[in-house]
Formats: sequence, C-alpha cells, structure tokens
Amino acid sequence: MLLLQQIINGLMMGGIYVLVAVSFTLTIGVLNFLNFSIPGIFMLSAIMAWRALENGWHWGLAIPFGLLVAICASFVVERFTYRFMKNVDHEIPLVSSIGFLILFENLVLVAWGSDQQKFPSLIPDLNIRAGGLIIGIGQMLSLALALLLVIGISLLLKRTQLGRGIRALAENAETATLLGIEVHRIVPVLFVVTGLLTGISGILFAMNYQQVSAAMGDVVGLKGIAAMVIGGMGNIWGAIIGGLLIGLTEVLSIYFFGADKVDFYVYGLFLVLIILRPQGILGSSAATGVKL
Amino acid sequence: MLLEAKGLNVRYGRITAVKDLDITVAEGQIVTVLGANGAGKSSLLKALIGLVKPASGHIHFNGQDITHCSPSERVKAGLALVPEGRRILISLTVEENLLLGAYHRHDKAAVAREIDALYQRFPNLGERRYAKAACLSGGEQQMLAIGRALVGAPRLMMLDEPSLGLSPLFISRLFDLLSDLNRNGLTVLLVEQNTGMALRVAHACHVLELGREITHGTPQQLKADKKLQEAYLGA
Ligand SMILES: Nc1ncnc2c1ncn2[C@@H]1O[C@H](COP(=O)(O)OP(=O)(O)OP(=O)(O)O)[C@@H](O)[C@H]1O
Ligand SMILES: [Mg+2]
Repeated sequence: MLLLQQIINGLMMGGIYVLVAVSFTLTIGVLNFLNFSIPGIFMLSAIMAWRALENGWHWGLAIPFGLLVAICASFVVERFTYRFMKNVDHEIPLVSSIGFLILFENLVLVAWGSDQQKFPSLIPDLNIRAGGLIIGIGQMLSLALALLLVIGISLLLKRTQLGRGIRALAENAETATLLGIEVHRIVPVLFVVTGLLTGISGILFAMNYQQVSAAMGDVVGLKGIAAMVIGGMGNIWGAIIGGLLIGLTEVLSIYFFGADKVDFYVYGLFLVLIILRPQGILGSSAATGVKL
Repeated sequence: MLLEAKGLNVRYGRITAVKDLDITVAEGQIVTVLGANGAGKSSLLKALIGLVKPASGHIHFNGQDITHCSPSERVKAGLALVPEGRRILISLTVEENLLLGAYHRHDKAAVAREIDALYQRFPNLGERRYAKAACLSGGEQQMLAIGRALVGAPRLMMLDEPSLGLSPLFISRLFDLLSDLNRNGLTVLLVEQNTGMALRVAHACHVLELGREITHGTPQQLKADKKLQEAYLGA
C-alpha cells in the first residue's frame, strides 16, 4: 500500500517535469534550439507570483501576474536569441539562452537574495482518502492540469492549420516558407506557449512545495531536459512518458534507497536508457524526420 | 502580362546565379526555362517566390509590384512553387500536406471539395490520404507536390524540374497533366532539363547559361536553331 502511495506521489511530481520537458521539446522539435532560459522562466513566474502574494495581492491576480512575467520573459528571449541568430551556428542561441538563465537568476538574487522563501499555501490541505491511499488535491490538480495542457497542445498541433504550420516548420523551414507559412509569426507564438507552460509548472511547483528561491529552476530544469531526452527529443508524448518516469524514479528511489541517493538513481536510469535507446523511448531515428 | 520580371539579378556572395534576366509570362501560357545544371533556373524561381532576395531588378505579378513582398504575400497574390526535389513534408500525412497548400485560404468547405476532387484525379493519393507522405513513391510524391500547389488555387504555378527522377511513363503522365491544367486556365512557368517534353507543351521558351539568357522564342524557333539544338538541347 505504501508503495502504491509512492507511485501516486511520483506521478504527481512527474506532472511538473512533463510540463518543463514539453517546453524544451517544443523549441527543440520545431526550431532545433535547446532553450536554456526555461529554468529561469520557471523560477521567475514562481518568484513574481510570490512577490505579488507578499504584497497582499489575491492569488487570482498573483498567479496570472507570474504567468504574464513568464510569457514576457520568454518573448524577450526570442527577440534576443533566436530572432537575430537563426542564420548562425545553432550553438550561439543556445549559449545566449544560458546567458538569459544566469541573468534572470542574478536579477532575482540581487533583488530578494538567495534564501528559500515560503510560498503561502493556496489550496487548502485537502486530501482524498481512498482505501488507505492519500491523494492531495493540490497534487492531483497539478497532474491533471499538466496532462490537459499537453493533450491540448498535441491536439492543436494535429488538428489546426496553425499546428500543421508549426509541424511543417519543424520539418523544413524553407518548404514551410514557400507554402506561405509565416515563420516570423509562428516563432513568437511558440515562445509564448513555452513561456506559459514553463510558468504554469513553476507556479505548480511553488504551490506543491510551498517554497521558492532563485535557484529553484536549476534542478527541475535538468530533470526536464533528462525527461525530454529519455522520451525522445522533439516528441511531445515522449516528454510525457519521460517526465512521469523521472517523477516515479525519484520517489521510488527515496522509498527504497533513501533521500540522499535520489540523483544517483534518476541520472543512472537516464544514462542506462540513453545507452540502450539513444533516440529516446518514442524518438525516431533522424532519417525519417518525424517530429512532434 | 501575368508575370513580368525585369533586370533580375540573384547573387550568393560573389557568385552571380542569375544575371540581368527579363522574363514575362502571359495569362494562359506555359513558359519554359531550360538550361544545364547550375544555369540559375532554381535561383530564378526562388527569387520569384521570394525565397531569395534579388540583388536588383523588379518583379510584377498581376499588375502589382511584388519585388519586396514576402513569400507569404506572394502566395496570397496567387503564386505557387513546386520546388526541385518535391519537398513533400514526410512527417505529415498526405492530407495534411494538401491542407498546408491551402494555408492562406479560409474557405474551408471549398478547400475540402477541391481536395476530394484531387483524390478523384489521383486515386493513389486518395487511398493513402491518412498515411505519412514518406510512404509515397517518387511519382506519387510529385503528384502530391503538384496537388499541394493546386489546392492553393494559384494563378501561376511554377515547377522546378518536376520530371526529375520519374519513370518515362510518369513523365508523360506529368506533362499530360500540365497540358490539361493549362487548357483549364492555369498559367505555368516550367523549369526543365527534359527539353523534348518541355518544348512539346510550352508556348514560349527561355534558355539560360551560367545565369544569362542566351536565347528565347517559341518552341518552333528553338527547334529550328540547329546550333542551339546541338549545344544545349541535346537533340
Ligand atoms: N544557396 C546558395 N549559396 C551559394 N551558391 C548557390 C546557392 N544556390 C545556388 N548557388 C549557385 O548558383 C548557381 C545557380 O544555381 P541554381 O541552383 O539556381 O542552378 P540550377 O539551374 O537550378 O541547377 P540544377 O539544374 O542543377 O538544379 C550555381 O553555381 C550554384 O552553385
Ligand atoms: Mg535547380
């Protein structure tokens, strides 16, 4: 029973990694750009929501404010990394997105220090008890929201003309352009979407752990990247599987081996999977070019 | 004139791919551009659709100066390009490829009807509408590329070496299709190295060499030019 409980907790934790992994995978899949500013955006949205709450804002305003900051930050990253540098080696936008990560974290450090800050509990500590299992409402909501968002994005990509345009761009930018798809309009949309997803995951994280700090994005960001790679870079369903798998591994290794060895098992699993299946669980080999 | 390009130059760094080219396409015509590898044929079409910026020159389409328009604006104005190597989107289904041809159109119902009509015309595509375009044969991919351009309801369809890599049977089907589309009112600008076939369907013809036009005329005039036949048209 306790094990089942841990599995449930792991899946809930995994929801946050899923969102971060999907953000990474969208920019990799469509633009071939590993956007390292994502952990910074994750942190910014949570920190800004926390500041707003501290200033007495209602959570119904504070959360949208945090998300708005995340979207704006993502938009700024687009303007200064991807937009000017799409014609150069793709390491350059990657490096400048790392620059943005460092910038965001240091701005927050300067303004509010490096300490862990308490994020007020917004959702009453309600639990559902079913046959001896305890399921936290907050955690359940965040897993449900994460999965709904990802399914929504996947439907958008499959069913809408904009989605088909994004997938065309992912496969071949020149072909997309000659079909009349406006790449310079789609790219900002993509950054807004990833900013929003990342922002939501940052706030969910803050709500579930009830703490925020300037460095909170780093650990989650690394696990998000690991989740994306495990699932298959550029594959949305792969990001879901990877995120949940990492969440599960985390809680199960705490359960079986103790909290101090978590990273060993999470990244150990990551290494083993990468060696066994370098393209990721759902990733296809580059030759077929199938993405998203 | 439906399309009129004047003094067109295309450069890549120090390489001049198209030099001082004038070309016109009248409504209802099939105009063909011939030339060996590296003559600048693809560069010309890319400049016309807006994928490369010409270093100088003007392009008018349907009475409008489109020299500084984006590819998307040109597609909306009625230009379509079937690119060299077909450039089918292999990670998308056949139907999604066709729908993307109508990216700029908002009359969904009409688009759906036209796609159905295409499936009648190309039953091979209809049967595989939900399959990934990667599973089509080369000939089917070319039909899909042409179908994708047609769904955009273009006024001028440009094709870049559509016969490349096709079997003789498919090549003759392809040229029959182009003549048929042309009889039904479609204007065509055709780049080819398959000189014989191109001259059979064309109303007017331009021959390029190293970016320059060396001659132009009707297919009859070109066929009559013995020197040209030997040197460029490989007859
Ligand atoms: N992107 C590019 N950058 C640099 N040079 C280019 C580029 N594209 C084409 N060229 C050069 O421009 C010239 C014309 O090329 P283009 O592709 O237009 O010829 P083409 O007539 O289409 O040839 P082919 O029959 O082989 O397709 C060639 O010398 C080619 O090397
Ligand atoms: Mg060419």
